[in-house]
Amino acid sequence: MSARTPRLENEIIALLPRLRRFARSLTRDAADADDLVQMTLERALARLDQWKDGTRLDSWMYRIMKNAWIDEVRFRQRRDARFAPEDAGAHIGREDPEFERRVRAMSVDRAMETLPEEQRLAVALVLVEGLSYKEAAAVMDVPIGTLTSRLARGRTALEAVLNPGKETPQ
Amino acid sequence: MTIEEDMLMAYVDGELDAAAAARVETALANDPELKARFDAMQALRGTLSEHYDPVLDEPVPARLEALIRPARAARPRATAANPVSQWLDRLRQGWQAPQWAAVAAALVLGVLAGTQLGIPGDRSILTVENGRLAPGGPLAAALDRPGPGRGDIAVQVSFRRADGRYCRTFTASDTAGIACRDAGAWQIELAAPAAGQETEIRTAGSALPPAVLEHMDVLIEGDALSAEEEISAAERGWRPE
Repeated sequence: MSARTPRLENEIIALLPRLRRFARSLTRDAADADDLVQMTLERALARLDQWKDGTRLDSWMYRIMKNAWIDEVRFRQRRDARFAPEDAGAHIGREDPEFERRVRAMSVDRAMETLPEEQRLAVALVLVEGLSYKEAAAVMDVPIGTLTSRLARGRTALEAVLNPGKETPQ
Repeated sequence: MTIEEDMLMAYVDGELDAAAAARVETALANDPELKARFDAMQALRGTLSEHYDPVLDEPVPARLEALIRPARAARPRATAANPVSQWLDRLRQGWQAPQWAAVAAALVLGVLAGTQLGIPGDRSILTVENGRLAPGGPLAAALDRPGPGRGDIAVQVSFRRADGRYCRTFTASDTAGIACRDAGAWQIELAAPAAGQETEIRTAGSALPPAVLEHMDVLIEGDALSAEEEISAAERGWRPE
């Protein structure tokens, strides 16, 4: 049970850079990422009384962001299922050199995008945010074994996209 | 012995205890294929960090910080929200860049004497007058002047407290604090060791330690003064309106 105090506000503000990084690794672009951070902050503030003083604020916020993101993904899937026919082909014919250059620059984003959400979350929490397996498993609400297998599969898939020439033994 | 992929991964992620890590290291030294897998895993970590870590250094959009402190944004004593960065930005817009450059240079040089209390009139930062902590001569002079200070003394934010009196935050050498105007003179409301001195204008504000920021938060009524408001307050001798 926590009250909203200037100290807590300061702690949340201090977390914003890391929350933005986590959001950036989950979403496709910076604007989406900050929208996700905003959604996370709104949810966190609405249920600040559920955060227990003395527990880790960062894990709690990561977890709220994870849930917000999964809700968002589900929403998008429903929406895309409805609008996919019109949207298909929107990017065909964009083969100019500048576009190619930007695509290469975005290759990490693109590679991350190819991962299923559960693997991307595992990769983001452990490899980008630097959480321990235990912490990451808690954020994701899964056993550690589930986390490590998602992490391993996510890694293999990322390597395959980022280094398409190389063999990645299983 | 063979090292499983899972174990190698746990090693790369720093999850193994010392004994298990030592086993992996021995295997790495003798198994080029394992070493290649290890290098690939390390490289992936590096690629991801390189790609995402720069986000940490980006300025956080004001709308996100504002979300954390909406209550105060709505009330008159509002802009305690995100004080330093916003206020410094605002002040910076009002003051000439060369002045800020001078402040930054002064922060780097950091020549002034330390925080020891001096007698009135000498060059100490803090002094005692009539039994109360007061700014020494150079700091008092800097506080009198509108603007961001000069030489070793930086003045960051000026604001009014609830009773209408003016206060200003300052850093001078290794001391930071808040001075408020009282009966025609500056009194030290709060003094604290300054945070590490920075070499960039952008971070000059972060030299204000949390204690100063939090106390400013408590004292402030309404908005920080704009550059124009500072000038007119200084012209009135910092007397409450």
